[in-house]
Amino acid sequence: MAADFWSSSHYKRWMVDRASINQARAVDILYVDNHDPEYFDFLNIYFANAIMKLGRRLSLRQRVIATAIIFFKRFYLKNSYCETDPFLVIAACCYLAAKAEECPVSIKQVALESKAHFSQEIHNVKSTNFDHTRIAEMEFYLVDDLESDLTIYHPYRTLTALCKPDPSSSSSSNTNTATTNNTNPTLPDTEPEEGEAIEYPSPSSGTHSLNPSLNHPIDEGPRYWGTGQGQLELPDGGFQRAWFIINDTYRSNICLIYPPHLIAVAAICLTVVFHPPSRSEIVPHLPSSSSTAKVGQPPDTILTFLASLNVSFPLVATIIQEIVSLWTLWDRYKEDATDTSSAASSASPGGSAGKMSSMSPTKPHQQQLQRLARGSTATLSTLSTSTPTPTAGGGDDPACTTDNNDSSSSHSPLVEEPAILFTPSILSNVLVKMREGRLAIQQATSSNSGSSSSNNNTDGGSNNPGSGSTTPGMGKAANKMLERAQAAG
Amino acid sequence: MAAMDDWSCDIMALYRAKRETSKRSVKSNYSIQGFISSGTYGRVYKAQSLDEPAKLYAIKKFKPDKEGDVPTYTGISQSAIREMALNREIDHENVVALKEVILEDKSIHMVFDYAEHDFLQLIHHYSQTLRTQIPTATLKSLIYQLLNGVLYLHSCHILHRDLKPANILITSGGIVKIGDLGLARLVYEPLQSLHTGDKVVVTIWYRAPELLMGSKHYNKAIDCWAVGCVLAELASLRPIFKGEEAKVEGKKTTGGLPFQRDQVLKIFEVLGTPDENDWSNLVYMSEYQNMKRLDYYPNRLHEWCQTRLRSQLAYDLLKLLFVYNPDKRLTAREALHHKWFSEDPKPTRNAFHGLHSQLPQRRITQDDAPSMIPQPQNASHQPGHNVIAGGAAAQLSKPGSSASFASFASLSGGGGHYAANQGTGGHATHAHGPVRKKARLG
Repeated sequence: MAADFWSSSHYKRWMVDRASINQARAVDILYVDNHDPEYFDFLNIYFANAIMKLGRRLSLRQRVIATAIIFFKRFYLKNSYCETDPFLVIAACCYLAAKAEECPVSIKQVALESKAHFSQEIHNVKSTNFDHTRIAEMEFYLVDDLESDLTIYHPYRTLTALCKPDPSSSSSSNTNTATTNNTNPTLPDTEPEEGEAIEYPSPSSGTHSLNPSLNHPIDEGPRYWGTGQGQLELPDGGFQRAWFIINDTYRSNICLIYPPHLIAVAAICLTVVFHPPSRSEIVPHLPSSSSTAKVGQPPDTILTFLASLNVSFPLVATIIQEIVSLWTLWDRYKEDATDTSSAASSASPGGSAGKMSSMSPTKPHQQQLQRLARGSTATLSTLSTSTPTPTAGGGDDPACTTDNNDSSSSHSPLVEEPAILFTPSILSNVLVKMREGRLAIQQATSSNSGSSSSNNNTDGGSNNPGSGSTTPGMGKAANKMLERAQAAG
Repeated sequence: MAAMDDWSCDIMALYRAKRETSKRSVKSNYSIQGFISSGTYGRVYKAQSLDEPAKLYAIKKFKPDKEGDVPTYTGISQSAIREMALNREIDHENVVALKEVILEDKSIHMVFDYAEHDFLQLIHHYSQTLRTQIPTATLKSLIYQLLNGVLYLHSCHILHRDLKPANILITSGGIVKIGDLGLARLVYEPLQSLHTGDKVVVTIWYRAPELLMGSKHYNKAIDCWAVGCVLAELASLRPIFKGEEAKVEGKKTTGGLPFQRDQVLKIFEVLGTPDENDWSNLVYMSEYQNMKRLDYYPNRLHEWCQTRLRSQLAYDLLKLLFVYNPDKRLTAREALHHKWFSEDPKPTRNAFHGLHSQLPQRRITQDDAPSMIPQPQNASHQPGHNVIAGGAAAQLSKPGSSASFASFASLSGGGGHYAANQGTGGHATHAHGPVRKKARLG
């Protein structure tokens, strides 16, 4: 957490655009059926879930897990799934993230838990050898590819800066510190992380971490953007709902593309729309069925508060749309019932509490999503009109303000329910096929010419539908993309 | 499953091969000029950029872990992770800049901007060779820049946790550079208390009273205490609180840490016994009862300053940095605004401005370990007889590790060298050994 986000490695070197992300998959896409990029969206969910579950086995906090997921995603901006072992990378990411977030776990434990977790039937990962020296070796390469940028900004931080934790659960955490003998009474001995308890209800976390702590003012960091002062008090459960929505975003590329504080604001907006108690507070002020943009009565506190934030609401609207798209996509993903992990007891897509409890997982779902998406957009357009920021002009239709790139390449969220359901076993088979395909090509090329691994001409000619997207040295290409993305701002 | 294992190995082999082709190596970018220092973490070398020969770097090479004699991967140490992660985020004139990290041969190489001098070397130069006090203008400039760097770190929510003369470098242009973030930590919303991660922080002579009293919680004020100690040391040319570290019985520190009685006494002898009315949390601290058993001492700081700091304002600044209660202690920002800095002589950007003699260059030697130095080189790099080599260093069995070279090296084992060299008097070896003990998780 350097001085602020704008001077961080996260902002300066790792904000990527969708084109770079697609480019990073250019080799992988040669080896999936029909060269269908949708597989990668499901793999995103699959891998994120896998990291979350392994993280829980290791008792990692949500922020550590989120860091591990970002490490994983950044690694695969420079590498291909089919040329690496993603499960070994996952183990290394968890190991490294725990150290980077200053709550280390032993490498042997990581090895043990990885082995135990991924040998479960749903993953069908029998090939990966989770020997600790292999994890350590992988960590080494991982750090190299991460360019030693190990400090990650997460939306959780903005959420806790902007919103008071749920009032119902904040009382007891204060007493923790009042009784401890400390020179600095503001620094509690342990800080339960806000809202994470429900993400994975476990007996050990118990009531303690159910109470979002109010105690993180050891260092009340500056708000590195915007002008907002004070804190928003969301109705009961609203804070946790927003927290869960943020958790959900790690299952997509949202966390690579957008600045974390905007993701947090998007999550708060969605909470306001989705969460019945929160929603009821703003409903009187919403432009009903988008007939009026101006509201007669003074806007209520939540809206005023959001409007006071000096952020780009069109961008927030785009993020909201992408979150809704993710949820739609996620409906087609099911973790198998054979998953015996205790952590997943609450809902089958592990930790999808934000999604599962904010909406009924039944059929009307689609319409509800559409309606709510519209609702949030409407909310935002109110905000936009009442915000003095110049960027807020075109808030009525966020789709218009979206990057062409974004809307065209992202999956359309509101298509009819497709037939195929994606499960971990299907996806791990996809991975196996990808790797076998890649290895076969590799062996063919190396036996033909004995040249280096970057020679992809053979498979490019036979398999590549996109003609010419195969470039040698994908890692370098991704690097260039990153540089380009930086240059573009 | 044998076939599957092969397949997995093939994937790794493929990946390794791909990495080999694109990797950046130390030798193709730098020429190693000599060995600077070593510590438990590894070794530091002076290097020259091959692209821009005018540019000098200090390459900190972390030791690869070994199983038997074979280097192997055992996971990157917490301290290396910290140092990399923090250095990648920060950028300030008064903090040593990390140029790049090269991962090669199972080792991490951190390439830092080179700095010719450090506070410890300066202190020795004045105490041994020149045998005079450091001029006030120089001293003030050094402290001002030090505070400026500390303020930057603190505003980035970073606690250094190991400020001491050996870790504070100075370039030949007189710019102070805080080094060695191996023990530093972000304190913004930590997931674990600082105490959980590292049981003991800060080399004992610079350790703040709240740490010595066993407080589990501490904050930026511990760095400000250390700055006070450094200021006093620059003024008197020897550590102000030179206590003897109490050792832990056995090797594991699981059974609690000992009360640092001698260190506490050294502080009390100058600053007096703390007043519970000024420091109300004191009574809750785990070493409070131990402290109560000590004799009562009056505050003698003013007297201490009489002969050493010629300015009343300097005394006032020191007094405020040595406030027992960490919540009342001067912050880095407040310290920078202290009136002493607006009193003549004013601090200068080049701390050496106006000095007649130059400090000797940092000595480099040939490596005595499996070396990164390509061919034998003569290490007679320094003009004339280096002060460091005389006096204190003569007591050392390993001259290569003498004081002025501890700067990059004090990450975790450097304290030993430092202590030996600090001891210009009869106490040369009393603090030898693990001056800093750290119990880390993982």
